[in-house]
This record gives sequence, structure tokens and C-alpha cells, in this order.
Amino acid sequence: MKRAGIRLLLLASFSWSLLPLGGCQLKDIDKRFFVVSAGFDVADNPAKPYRVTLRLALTSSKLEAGASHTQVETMDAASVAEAVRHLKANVDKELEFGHCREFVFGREMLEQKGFQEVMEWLARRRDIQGVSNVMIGDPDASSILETKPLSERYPGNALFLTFGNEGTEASDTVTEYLFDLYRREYETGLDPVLPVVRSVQHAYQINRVALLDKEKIRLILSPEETQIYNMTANDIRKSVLAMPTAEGRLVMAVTKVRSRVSVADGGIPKVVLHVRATGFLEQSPPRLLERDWDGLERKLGRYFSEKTVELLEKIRDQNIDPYGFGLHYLANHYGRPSTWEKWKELYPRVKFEVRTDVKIQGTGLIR
Amino acid sequence: MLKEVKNKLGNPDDLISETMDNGYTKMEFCFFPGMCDINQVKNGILVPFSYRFDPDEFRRMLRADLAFIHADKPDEWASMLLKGCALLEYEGEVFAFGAVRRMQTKPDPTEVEASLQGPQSAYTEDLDLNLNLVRTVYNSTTLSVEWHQKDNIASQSRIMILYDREKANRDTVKEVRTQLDKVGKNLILGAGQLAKLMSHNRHRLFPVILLTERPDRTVMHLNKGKIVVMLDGSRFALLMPVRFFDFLSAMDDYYEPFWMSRFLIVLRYISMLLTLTLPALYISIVSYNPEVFRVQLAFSIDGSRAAVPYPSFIEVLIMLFMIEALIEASIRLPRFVGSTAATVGGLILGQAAQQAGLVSSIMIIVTSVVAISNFVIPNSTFSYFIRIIKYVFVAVSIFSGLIGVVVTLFMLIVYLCNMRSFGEPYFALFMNAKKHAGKDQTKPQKAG
Repeated sequence: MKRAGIRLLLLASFSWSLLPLGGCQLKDIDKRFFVVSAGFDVADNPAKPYRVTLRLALTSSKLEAGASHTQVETMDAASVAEAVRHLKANVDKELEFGHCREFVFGREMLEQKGFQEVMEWLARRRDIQGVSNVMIGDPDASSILETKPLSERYPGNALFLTFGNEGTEASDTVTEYLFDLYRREYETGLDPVLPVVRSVQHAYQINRVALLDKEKIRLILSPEETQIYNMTANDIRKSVLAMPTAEGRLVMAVTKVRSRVSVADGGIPKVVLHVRATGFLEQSPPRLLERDWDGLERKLGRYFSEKTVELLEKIRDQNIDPYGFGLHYLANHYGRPSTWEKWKELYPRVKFEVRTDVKIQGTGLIR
Repeated sequence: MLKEVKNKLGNPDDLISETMDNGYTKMEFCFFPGMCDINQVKNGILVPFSYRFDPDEFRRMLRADLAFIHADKPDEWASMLLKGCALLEYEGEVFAFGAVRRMQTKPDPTEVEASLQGPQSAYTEDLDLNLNLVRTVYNSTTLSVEWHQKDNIASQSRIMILYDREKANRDTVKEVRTQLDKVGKNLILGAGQLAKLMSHNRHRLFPVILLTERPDRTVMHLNKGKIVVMLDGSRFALLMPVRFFDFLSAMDDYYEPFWMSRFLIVLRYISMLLTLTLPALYISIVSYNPEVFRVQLAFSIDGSRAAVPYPSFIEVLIMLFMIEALIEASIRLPRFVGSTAATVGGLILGQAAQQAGLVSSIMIIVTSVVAISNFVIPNSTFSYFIRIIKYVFVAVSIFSGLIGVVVTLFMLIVYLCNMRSFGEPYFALFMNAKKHAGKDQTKPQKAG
């Protein structure tokens, strides 16, 4: 009898200790407002410098193209956290960030203030996923959030599908995740990159990438450069490698690309980037390949190498390091603080060498 | 003799008792016509006594025939009559003639534990026939069959303990006997009841005795050193000690191709987990952690829940009540009405409840998955227990959400590890392989 009593007591205390485990209180899914994307801009008011824009999903059980409804709410405040708290007064349900996978930083904000303060809020909130996509809105974040893409089946999916390999696999779209941005913000020798989104008539255009130092935008690459960056830094598949020839344009569809960095030491370090690209000719002047298969591969490789070196030097001249050459250098050298100082001093004079092995598998279905 | 018996039994009207006189000698004779096979009584006693009477031969028959038992203890007369014997007193001596009326003469078809390719015969409600079924399949000299005689069981049903002398653990056999002794003065009508009375703790969350109607399952367990208890008048044999995993194995696992049976086992475990946790997961995900869903699903649940007036747990309780009532109704109803109940309940009510906005459409799916997964569990006792434990999870999820479900699952596993079935660990995976490694010459059979 006594043992049963003790057991009952134990059971009761166990179940009591379960009670506070839930964390937040019971709130049904239909009493929550799903935020699908959030944007951060600067406002003109110096007392309330942050403008937070949230795109909220108005859900329905039917899903068809173009049937997604959203509501956009904006609030200016002294900080992001305050803005979000104040925004709650504007809506009838509890804001839920669990499904917010798109965070847009306004271009102006990144040029003026940087993204540190916003990142702090993003990194601290437990309901914000590390795998969220981060991007720059051009000219500002709210214009991106107010765009209503026609193809959108459910709120927020158009932007989400654009990144990663979920939907389209565009070779000039750079995908940047929140966790990676956080890492790049604090890592020595590796600088942040962010894709730039522009809204073009009920659709998004994401074909440029912005390279940042630890705070602000330093360089925005053109679509062509973005693709080269994406191929060499992210090994993105399904890209193209185009080269003008005397007889016409030669376009190779790259199905596989592998790149490897090695930093050769010396008085001035030399960064060697090995790229192996495999693919087939999607468009080319007739009977070009049969004439000189190896020569064509070499020519393509040389062409790509030149372009890449140009890009790398352009990046180097801005004194930013999105590839992480500095990190690579630190990994290969004894990790004293002076090593990093030495690299910082050497970086503007670093030499680049790109070795590209192009492998053409054929000309597609026809010869 | 007749007077004593009548006094003891309170002079029942269905007892035939007569003093017979064939012209040469007299014989006192009584039996219950309902309990005895009247043909046997006629051929065994009446014909030799009347038409072909020969005093010497008759005396010899009484002494030598196996069917006649010398009954010299007046105390036992009444109980012998009740068990289906005919009593006769001839020349001052009392004999019992075993002429029990057998209702069953052939094994029943399997009803509860159907099998596609295995044997189709199941136990009957006759103990002797059941023993025959076991002996036929487990034709071994080491099989022990012990009659557990107990006077304090009101119904006086025969209880048999079967085990393999060389494989069974002696301590476990002793433990089973002690538990049987403890059963006490109860009217035992079915094997399930005996199982309940034999369990150490009635408030256990999982069964520690496996009930089966299949001789092949019994024999397989006998071969593994398990102990079988059989009860007269019950179609089920009790197997003990058993483990958690025995309840989720069907006999077909042994008869079907390797990959298929493995797949089915995995399917069963997944189904068990689903039926256990799905309602709780629905509550905790809908009300606490909607980010667990994919975004499409979250939005469509959000949309379909828009019309639902109650919080998610009320919704779940409504649907669970409906499905439990439906299952209960279709078990109790006569078979031909049962299908109507299923149609009304499953199709019409479910559809209407969703259209009326009482529950969301996802909840209908959750409910059906819970019900169907529950039917996948091959043992009905076990599936009852799972059905109940499900509500513990629901209760926890109302207050603590997803993390509560996880913690409860953990606590359940701890509880299972703590459990013992007749002294042997309940949640052990490879119990037999280790224990009998030395004793068995053959490779120990792995329990599924």
C-alpha cells in the first residue's frame, strides 16, 4: 500500500514536471498568422530608423496558381524587435515565424547601416529557422514583399522555390542561408555574400549577387559574373559556359563542376583554383567538335580561366573574400594572430591562377 | 450411493438415477444425460447389463475396461458426475464410467489470428482435443503436461500446464504455479480472465501473457522454453513468459519469404507507433509547433481548420470517441449489421463531420490512420492496451505539446524496460538466444 502511494506520488510529480515543458501556451494553428517573408529597411525618421515589413499568409484549404492571398504589414521602430512587437497590434492573430523562410534586407539599409543588428535579432529568435533564405531587396525590401507573383500557389512559395534546388535551378541565383550568413559574419577570412532580388512585373529576378565585407555591400556582380562566382564557389550544376568563336557562339551546358582551392605559399601567396567542368555542347557551329575535340576543350578552359581570374582580381581589389581564401590560408598556417595580420597585408597583392579542365562529353543527341 | 449423491447435489431434476434390475441382479445407476454421451452409456453399461448379461463377464468388464474407474471415495462422486461420468454401484462397489459428451470433434478454423499460408486449425473449447493438437505438432518425449488441480476454483475447470522439460526454466515453471495458486476462488470462464488474474499487477500497461488460438504458435513457444497454460472450455491458450516483441509477431512471419516478412514486421512497428502517437502529434503540432509541417501542409491545415470552432484537442477527442464507439459497436453487433455500422460511421459521419466544420479534413485522415494502424497489430489484447495508452499521449500533448509526447514516449520505454513477465525481462530483444545457447544443441530459434 505504501509502495503504491510512493509510486502515485512519483507519477504525479512526473506529470507535473511535464506541464511547463511545453514552453509556449496552447495556440491553435488557425489562431496564428504565418509570416512568410520578412523585410528590413531603413526609415527616414532618425528616432525610428528600422522599417520592418512582414508578409502574412491568408490561408485557404484550396491551392491553385495565383490564388495565394497575403497581407503586408509595415512598422517603423527603433529596433527590429520592437517593430515586430508593435506589429502585433496591427493583426488579429499571433505572429508565427516558424514558416518564415525568406528574409529580405533592403539594399539601402545594407549600404548605410549594415546587417549586424538585424542578424542579432534573427539569430536569437528560436522560432526562426537557420535554413531560411536571406537576400537583398533592390531597391528596398518592402517592394519585394509587396510583389505578388502570378504563379504563386500558396503564400510565399515563389520566392522560396527560386532558391536552392527545390524549384528552379538557375545558375545565376546564389542561395544563401541564414546559418551560413551568420557564420560568414563572424568567420575570419570568409566574407558574406547575399543574392540580390529585384521585382519585375509580378515576378522576381534573382541573378546578381552582392559581396559584402563584414558590414556593408562592397560589390554587386553582374549576372555573368554571378554565374562564374556560383560555378567556382558553390559548384552549381546546370550552368552554361559560353564562348564566342569565329564561326559563331559556342555554348556548353555544364552538368558537373568541381572546384578546389589551394593556396601556394611564397613571398606573395598564389591562390590556385582548380576547376573541372563536364558537360555537352548545347549550341555550337556545325562540325566544330569533330575537328578538334581536345583543342576545343582547352580553348574553353582557357577562356573560362581568364574570365575567372578577372573576377577574382575584381573581388580582391575590393578587399573582400567571399571564397574564403583567407580561411584557407589560416588553415594551412600556424594559427597565430600575426598570421591573420600577415594575410590581410598580403591579400591585396595575391596572385590568382585558375586551371580549368573542361570535359566535353558530346554534342547532345545529334552529332 | 444414490441417496448420498442426490443429497449432495440437492436432488436435481436433470439427474437420471435408477436402480436397475435385469432379473438376476440389481445395479444402482445415475448420470446427467446432458453431460454424458448417451450412446456410450448405452453401449458401455446398459447393453452389457441387460440384453447380454453375463455376471462373470460384467464383473470382468468393470475391473478391466479403461473407461471404468473404481470410485471408492464418496466425496468424489458428485464432482465426477458433474464432470460427465456415469456412476454405478454393482455388488457393493462404485464405479465411474467416463462418457463425457464431446461437443467438438474437429479443430476450429482460425478466427482471431488468421494466417494466409500457415495451418488453418485453431483450438476448440475442448481441452482434450486441444492437447491432441499440441501433441500432434510437438511430438516430443520431453513435453510435460501437468494437471493443475485446485479445489478453490468455483467452476472446477480443468487447467493444464504444458512445458518442455529440457527447455523451460524451472524457476519460471514454479512461478507460474504460484501465480495459478494465487488465482483464488473465482469463477473462471475464459482464458483472458485467467490471464488477468495471473498477472502480478492488474494495472499494468502492457500484457505479460500472450493469448493464442493457434497450436503452431503454442508449439513454437514451447520449443523456445515457454510455458503454456490451457483451460478447459476456452479456445485460447496462455503463453508465458512473453516479451513485448512476441505480441507484434504474426505466425505468417515464419511462413512467408524473408524480405516480405521483415517488411511486414517493420510495417507493424511503424503502425503501432502511429496509432500510439498520431492523435497526440496532431494536437501538439497543430497547437504548439506548426513549424514541423511542411509549409503547404501547415497552410492547408490552417485553411481547413478555419471553420472548426473548438481547439484541436476537442476535435481530436470528438473523432477518437467516434472511432472508438464505432469499433466497439461493430464488435458487439451481429455480423450482418456490423458492416452497416461501419458504413454509417466511417463514411457518412466522417464526411458529414468535416463538411459541417466540426473537424478538419486532416483530422479525418488522422482518425482513419489511427484506426487502421491499430488493426495491423496482430494480437487483440495488445491492440487494446495500445488503444488505451494512446489517450495518455493525447492528455500529455494537450498540456505539453511535442516535447511532452517525446518525454512520454521515453517514459514508456523506461517503463517497458522495468517490466518483467514471470521473472524474465519484458523488453529484451535476444533473451532466448543467450539463455539457451549452452543447453540447446540446435541453433536457437530467433523470436520475431
